[in-house]
Amino acid sequence: MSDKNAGIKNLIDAHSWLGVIISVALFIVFWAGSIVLFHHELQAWAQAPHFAIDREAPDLPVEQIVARKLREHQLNNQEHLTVLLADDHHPYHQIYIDLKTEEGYEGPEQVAKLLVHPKTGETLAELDDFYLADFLLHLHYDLRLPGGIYLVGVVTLIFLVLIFTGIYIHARKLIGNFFLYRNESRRSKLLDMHNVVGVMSLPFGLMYALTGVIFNISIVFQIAFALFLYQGDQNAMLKDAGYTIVTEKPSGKPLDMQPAFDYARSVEQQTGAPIAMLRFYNYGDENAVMQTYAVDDSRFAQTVEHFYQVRDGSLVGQADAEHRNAVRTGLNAMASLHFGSFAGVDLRILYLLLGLAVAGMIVVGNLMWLDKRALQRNVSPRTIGFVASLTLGGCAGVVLATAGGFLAERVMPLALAARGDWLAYIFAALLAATTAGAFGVSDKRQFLRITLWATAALFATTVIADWVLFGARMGELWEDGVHQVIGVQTGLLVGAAACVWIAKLLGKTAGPVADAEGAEFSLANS
Amino acid sequence: MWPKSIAGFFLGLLVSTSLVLNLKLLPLAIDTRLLSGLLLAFLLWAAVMTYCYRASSIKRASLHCAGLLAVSVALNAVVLFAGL
Repeated sequence: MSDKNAGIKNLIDAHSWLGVIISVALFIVFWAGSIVLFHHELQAWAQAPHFAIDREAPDLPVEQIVARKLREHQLNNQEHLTVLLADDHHPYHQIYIDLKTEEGYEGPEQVAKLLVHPKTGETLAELDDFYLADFLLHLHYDLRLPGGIYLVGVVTLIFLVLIFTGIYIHARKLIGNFFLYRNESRRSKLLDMHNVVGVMSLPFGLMYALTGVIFNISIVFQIAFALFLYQGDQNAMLKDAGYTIVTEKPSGKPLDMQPAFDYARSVEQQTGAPIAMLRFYNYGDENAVMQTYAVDDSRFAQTVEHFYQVRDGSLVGQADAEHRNAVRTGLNAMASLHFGSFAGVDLRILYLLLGLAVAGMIVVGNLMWLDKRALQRNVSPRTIGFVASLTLGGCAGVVLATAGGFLAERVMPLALAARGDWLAYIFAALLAATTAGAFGVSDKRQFLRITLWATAALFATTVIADWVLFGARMGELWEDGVHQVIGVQTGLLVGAAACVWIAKLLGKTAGPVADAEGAEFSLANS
Repeated sequence: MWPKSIAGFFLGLLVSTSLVLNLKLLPLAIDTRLLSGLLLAFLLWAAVMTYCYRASSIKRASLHCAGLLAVSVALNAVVLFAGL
């Protein structure tokens, strides 16, 4: 065998081995990431039916709302006060207040996270009460595990290696076989699907792999840069990277904050970019600094960020089209590409389809590994059974658990204590039950069909629950411009229909299973 | 496969870190160097891992990577101590 052919064979072995090892984690990352592309829509779907909005009514000035919230909650002004302002995507303000703690308190940071009505200033709920969108976001970037952000970073790095090995393996056929489809055998259909999705989504996959590792584990190289290029001075490095670090602490002398709010309005008028976030450092103190953040929709991935020193009206930091920094511009571009936020909802639907196709490609990769190993006598049936069960339980389980999460988000009473925690428990219980079931049953194909039917039923029940609980308000929500509710319901129904279609397809192609061992491998051979 | 994975992961991390630190030698603005370094570092890391998986002998692949690392680290040392 020539060196090149031996290299390709080694890479094929590595590609399938690495793929199987990271498959379930990578599937969860892509599945959750595809859904969470619609994070704002999910939040609006969860929240808006509970609270009336009169879009025509004037907004209460944000400084009045902040003053009211600070009367209700004791701010630790050595930390932050952050206000995410309501807009077309978020019907309500989101306010985060770092709270003062009692002397000697050593627990985690206490933060009041409030969902606030922009017209009345009323606190509607704790933000964590509506946890589905944030839960899926967490699942996407840290699998909701301690240290998960680094684990997902390493998984994404391996995904990048899988892309490199895939390109190398197919380099000679990448263009020549672009339009070649084979249908001689079932095996080549799986391979074709894996290859076609891999090639068609190559730029998309490469973008996700690269931006994903940078978001999750760039700390590795930041440490190296800070140590070798800045003699350990991380703040100097961050300054060169275009970040403004507010290091001043409160002096104890009070200061009127009204000029800050006036400045935020003037920035909005000057730039035409609506302010999305206000963050205050040392609020109400002589050393107070306000950070304003806006997205300039007239340019690609351009943000407008000012750091305003309240006592003298000076700017201590600025990043916008006239004050560019390559690192900030580059990271903004990566974020825009990663979240598909540089265009409308149609682009995110395209991203969703590509993301789900990649998730499907991951499962098909495992099926091919199982097919190949089932033919080899040097792999134990126990290993093959383990991979088959884990693939089925992990992948189908997370799909079913997501559907359960949607239903829980809709039907759990708003007054339920720790509502967000309950959602996480329900998700974990469904995932664990499906995984246990996958390990316990012998007919895995039938189990997959049942899981898909159950997922479809949960999605459909969620939509029914929407109309049973809030049917009278649907028209009002639509007229108020909250189209996200109907949009998410449409997505859920399409998801339910897709699950039913796949379940029926699996039923039609199911063949007789000769013995228990055959049944054990029926997922691999489906 | 585990020896290849371990060698590729750690050699990839060291080689990529060392190589991107040498970007200091290029006449680029500091922010451009930092961004290029960040982007290149992960691509190099994955490339070294791919190289290790491609190799039939992990010992030989590790020696090649170690050789590259030695040259790059020597350049790092020159950059660091000469204050370039």
